[in-house]
Amino acid sequence: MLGSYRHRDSSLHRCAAGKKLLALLLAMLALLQTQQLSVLMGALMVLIALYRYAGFDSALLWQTLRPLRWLLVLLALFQFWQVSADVALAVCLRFVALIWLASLVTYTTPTRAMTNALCQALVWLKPLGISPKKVAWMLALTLRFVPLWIKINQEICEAQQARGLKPSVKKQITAIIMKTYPMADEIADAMDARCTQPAKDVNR
Amino acid sequence: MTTKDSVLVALFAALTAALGMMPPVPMPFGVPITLQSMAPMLAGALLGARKGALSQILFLVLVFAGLPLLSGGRGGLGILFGPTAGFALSWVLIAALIGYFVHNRQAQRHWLLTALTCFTLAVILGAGLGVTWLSVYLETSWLESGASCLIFIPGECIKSCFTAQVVIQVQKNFTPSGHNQPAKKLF
Repeated sequence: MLGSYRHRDSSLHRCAAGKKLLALLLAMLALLQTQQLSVLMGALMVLIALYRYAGFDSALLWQTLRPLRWLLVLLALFQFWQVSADVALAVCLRFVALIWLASLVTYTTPTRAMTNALCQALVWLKPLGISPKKVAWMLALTLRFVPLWIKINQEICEAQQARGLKPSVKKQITAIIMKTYPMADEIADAMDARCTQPAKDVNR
Repeated sequence: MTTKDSVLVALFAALTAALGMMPPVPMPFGVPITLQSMAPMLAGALLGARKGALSQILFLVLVFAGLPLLSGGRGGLGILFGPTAGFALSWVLIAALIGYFVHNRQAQRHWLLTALTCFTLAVILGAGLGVTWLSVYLETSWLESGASCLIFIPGECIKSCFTAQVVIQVQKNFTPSGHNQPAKKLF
């Protein structure tokens, strides 16, 4: 399973994920405050320059917007019809700027670094007894379980077909969930036996 | 939180991702149903508020970190800063509140009551967070954004009924402590 990270050699790639996230948050708040076309155009120019600086070609800019192109068209038409051409242009420019900005951070930050930074950001879960370390541990488990679910789903489909059952989403999901509890028991026992959890986090 | 709890939370977070990879179910009213948005309801109803919400937080962290786990292979910070961020974030609250109202409650006795609870909470939170964020983001009025989302209501209704029936079926085959009973009439 691959993330959206694109490896290049630039100082944007080397910058710490936490700093990039903070900068992204501040930039987003600033962009949401403004409606001036000149400021928004300037922001887009800066972003295009940043993409070039990070070593990406202009095709990536289009590729980032491609899934949202129809939403963008609809938004422009709606704002033009309801308010004015200026507002329509401003809203669309801001939309593009926000998507490019967030995607730039995603493209320049390895998935592992981003996951670590986001885990640190979940420090507010500590009062609930969940430390960032534990979150990181559970994230690793989750990534391991995704291919497992896909395999189990295929097995259940085949078992149902072999018994001549019509495909049914409800039965399929019920069977998947029924597998969850015994599987959790087995995996937890195996993990406890191997002391895989950080010692201070084990409560039983 | 015991090891088993952590494993269950991770399993449901992974299930959310796996449901996103299943093909959307075509519906007669046009908009196909993606099974992924059933996952917060299932996680809340089966794991409870705290663990259900945590499983959705884990899933969203992986999505925001750039893994293409949302249905349609989407992922990355663009989701967090895009127009549908409110809907994605509402999943955490949906799991928490459905967990609070449905998990180990009387509501589980009848599937229709469970379905109604799931539907009401999903729509209220989806409208509260999702539509509000959409209207702020696109600079439209709340009602206009809400009207554009009405097309998803029939899908939400079907998903709530699915969830309730799955939850009842799972409850019938498990004791409250989570030990497996012999499965009866599963298929």
